[in-house]
Amino acid sequence: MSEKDKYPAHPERASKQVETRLLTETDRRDFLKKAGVMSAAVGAAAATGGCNVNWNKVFQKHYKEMSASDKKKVFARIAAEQKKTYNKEVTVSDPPPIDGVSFVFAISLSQCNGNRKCVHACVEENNQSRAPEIQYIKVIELDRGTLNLEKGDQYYEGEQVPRSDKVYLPMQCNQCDNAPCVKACPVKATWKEKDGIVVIDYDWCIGCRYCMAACPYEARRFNFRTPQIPRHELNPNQGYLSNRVRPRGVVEKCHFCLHRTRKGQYPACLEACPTGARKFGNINDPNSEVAQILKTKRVFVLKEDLATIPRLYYYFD
Amino acid sequence: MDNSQRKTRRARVSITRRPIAIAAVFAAALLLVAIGARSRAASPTKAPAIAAKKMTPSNVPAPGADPTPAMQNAIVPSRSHAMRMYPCSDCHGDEGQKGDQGNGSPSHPQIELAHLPNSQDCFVCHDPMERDKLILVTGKHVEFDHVQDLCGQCHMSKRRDWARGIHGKQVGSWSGLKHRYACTDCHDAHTPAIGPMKAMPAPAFPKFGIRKHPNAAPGKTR
Repeated sequence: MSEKDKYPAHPERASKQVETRLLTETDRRDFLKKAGVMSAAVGAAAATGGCNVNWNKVFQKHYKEMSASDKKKVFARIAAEQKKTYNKEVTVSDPPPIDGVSFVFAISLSQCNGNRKCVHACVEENNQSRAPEIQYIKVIELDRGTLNLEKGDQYYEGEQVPRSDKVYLPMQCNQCDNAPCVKACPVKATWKEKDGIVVIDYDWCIGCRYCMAACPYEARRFNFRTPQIPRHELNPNQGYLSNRVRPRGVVEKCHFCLHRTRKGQYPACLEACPTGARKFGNINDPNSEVAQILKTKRVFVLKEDLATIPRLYYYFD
Repeated sequence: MDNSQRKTRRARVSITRRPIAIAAVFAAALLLVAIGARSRAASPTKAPAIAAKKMTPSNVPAPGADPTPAMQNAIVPSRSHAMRMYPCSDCHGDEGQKGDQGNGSPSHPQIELAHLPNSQDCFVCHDPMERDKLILVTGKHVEFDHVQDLCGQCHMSKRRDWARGIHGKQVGSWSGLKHRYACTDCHDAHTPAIGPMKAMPAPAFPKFGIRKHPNAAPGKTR
């Protein structure tokens, strides 16, 4: 091919050339030969590690579409990845929602004294990133007598809490029954489970952050960087939909510690709270603590007018 | 062997084996009951129960004391085992003698009585006759392990809420056994108001955030 043919001077001529090439019928044998060469090259590149892609991960199904054997493979892959990164044996599981159970949280603002033990217990339980700091729970310090969240301060420092003129309001994911975040997700990576918990498939999330914009409670957090967790603080009891180590570029949030609560345990924040302000249980059981609270106390929810129907109730007693 | 002989022999055999047969029937029945109980326990619809930490089943409140359903699967740990100087009768053998009382008493200098402000009388709650027990206003003795009955004389609503599981801390399982903290696990018996504590570190302030609380903390504007 001459220099002239390669760089045609006139666009008309160039388009004519393309047309003639397209019109020439490609020999079937030729095509197969080329295709064979191409696929061999791709295969060789993959085999030699030219492109470091885990194809099983790329073609992994949505959590709801996975069969039992698919899940087993995926959990093994996640465990192997963490073994490689942290040199620690972890178990990944996905406890299913229990029939007839609907989880609700109730928080007594009279007892909460803003000591932030829940925040740090949550970080440790749920393998949240330490270096770009991610915390699910925000404790907001408000002036006594007001509940204006805009005037609240979540960055208060306290040698001595509670301060006499303040009231403390812990905020986390409300697990709304009419969740705006679930509606906003374009890929259905987040959904509501039968027991009321809104979960995220971290491998399906594309990181668009629409859900974060949709959430009126600012409950969702984004992994801008790969999470940094000290090896000795890694929690080896992990749930696929809850506290496994998240990749970079996905959204995460409170999930009522579903890897604990679906096995009958209390969430980590409740067990860490020294004041007993947090109460958790099954609202369908009339003898549970939360059912008793909702029956006997004057409870309220945040931003009730948005009709999100939250599962996090607050009360004073 | 003629027919009559055979008959008597068979009868003898069946008589000797009867206890074995009865035992076998009993064993089978027991096995069936056990299997039934097991399958009931493992039914998938029932929420799983996990064992609470540090359980001491001997410390379950006296039967009939708390008819609340929430009390039935809660275990209150023993208080007397947690008390440093228990049993009191090691020193206080002199029954009926009241001795020195109130703040600044030489035998219990660490006790600061900041409850019932007008009273420095130990024997409003402690039994002067039986030193290892507490006393209600009715004169009834109460074990240290059932301190909620003593506190509940005045703080009835808190006592009621505690029995329902609403007031106070409990850990363990929301569906099964709970470890419920007694009044004096969290509140000091002599200074019951819970004082201020140190807060855990605050989250990092965003790098380009605008501080909007000018009077929040000394030396900082936000």
